[in-house]
Amino acid sequence: MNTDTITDRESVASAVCDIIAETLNIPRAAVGKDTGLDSDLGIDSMALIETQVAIEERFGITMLDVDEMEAREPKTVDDLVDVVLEQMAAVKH
Amino acid sequence: MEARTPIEQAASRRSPDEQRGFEREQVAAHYEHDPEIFSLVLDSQLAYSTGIYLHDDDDLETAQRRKFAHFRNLLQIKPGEKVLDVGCGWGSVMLNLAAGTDGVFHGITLSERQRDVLLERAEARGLSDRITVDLTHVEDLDLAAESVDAVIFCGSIVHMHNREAVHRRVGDILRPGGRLLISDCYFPTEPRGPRDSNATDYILSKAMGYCRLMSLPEELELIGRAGLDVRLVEDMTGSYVRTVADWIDNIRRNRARIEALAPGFARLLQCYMTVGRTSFARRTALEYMILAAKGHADTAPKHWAVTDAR
Repeated sequence: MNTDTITDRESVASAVCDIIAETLNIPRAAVGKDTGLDSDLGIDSMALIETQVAIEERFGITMLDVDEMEAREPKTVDDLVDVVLEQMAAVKH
Repeated sequence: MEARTPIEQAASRRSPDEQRGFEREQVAAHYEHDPEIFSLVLDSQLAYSTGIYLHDDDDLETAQRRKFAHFRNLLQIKPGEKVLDVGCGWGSVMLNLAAGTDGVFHGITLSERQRDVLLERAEARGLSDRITVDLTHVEDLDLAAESVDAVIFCGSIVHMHNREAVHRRVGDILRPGGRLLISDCYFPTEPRGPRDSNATDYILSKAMGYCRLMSLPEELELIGRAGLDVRLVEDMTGSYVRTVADWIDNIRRNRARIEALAPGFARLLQCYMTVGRTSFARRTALEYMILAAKGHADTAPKHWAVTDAR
């Protein structure tokens, strides 16, 4: 587990892209901040759970539960990064 | 019985011998992980099944203690009665029943590590003279007809594919007056979502080795066909949502240690438990406790209320 402190948006986005590529077992180059989670990657509910758990490990945060995440309807990687940053901010406060 | 999931369909293509071998290997693998990991996730008794939650502020320890007390009430074990715990795990149910009754307990598990932990715990609690544990599959058990007073499957029967054979065996070995107690997961009779999804496969196969979720009516029918009468069915789905949520919180708290003991296992546990928690919360999977008896048994409605002890 790597919980090095990274808080700026670009670094977080890069780490989230790494995690998605690893979870889906696809080339890192296929994942960018504007990549569609469903439309481009076809990410299903299981892959989203695996991604969220990997994000929790990486950043030492608690992500949204499945119902909350579905309500957010993240369309792109950047939408997911928004959630990560919010949850990181919640840990700090 | 309908084979609902791809792994059930694969199991249906194996011979019973092959399937037993498959279960021995695949199911045991999960439970062969370091017991310390499970001590960091579960309650202090290592109960890997639902607790019983009655109040908003109940914690995992309280819920599991309440479950053990409930089992004692349901089974009404008398001095010297023989109890078989199929899939006894690290012994949470057996040890608590042994401490609270004068019964004689025989556990079976597919995991050598679980057996060793259970025997150590029995020794430490001075219960060794009334507890034995064997490493065997229930279908391979060599027990005489009508030689057992109670049989328990607590979070274990879901791992067994050939349920009809299992229930026939239970019906055979139970004495008249014997009791059967099952606590486990079921699918609703009518599907409320896909049963061939990656999430279903993750929990039933990748994480747990092999699971067959039947519907409750199917299980009850097999119990009846084995000559037993269903006496009580309790819906524990809400309690299981909270049990699993507490397990997930424990994983979060202890992630670093679990990761050090078994890299990747914390992630697997949290992923499968998240799928499970969501399924139970949405009631696409259900959790029941079932009490059945062979003929006239000394368990009656006056014993069945959950005791509100903390």
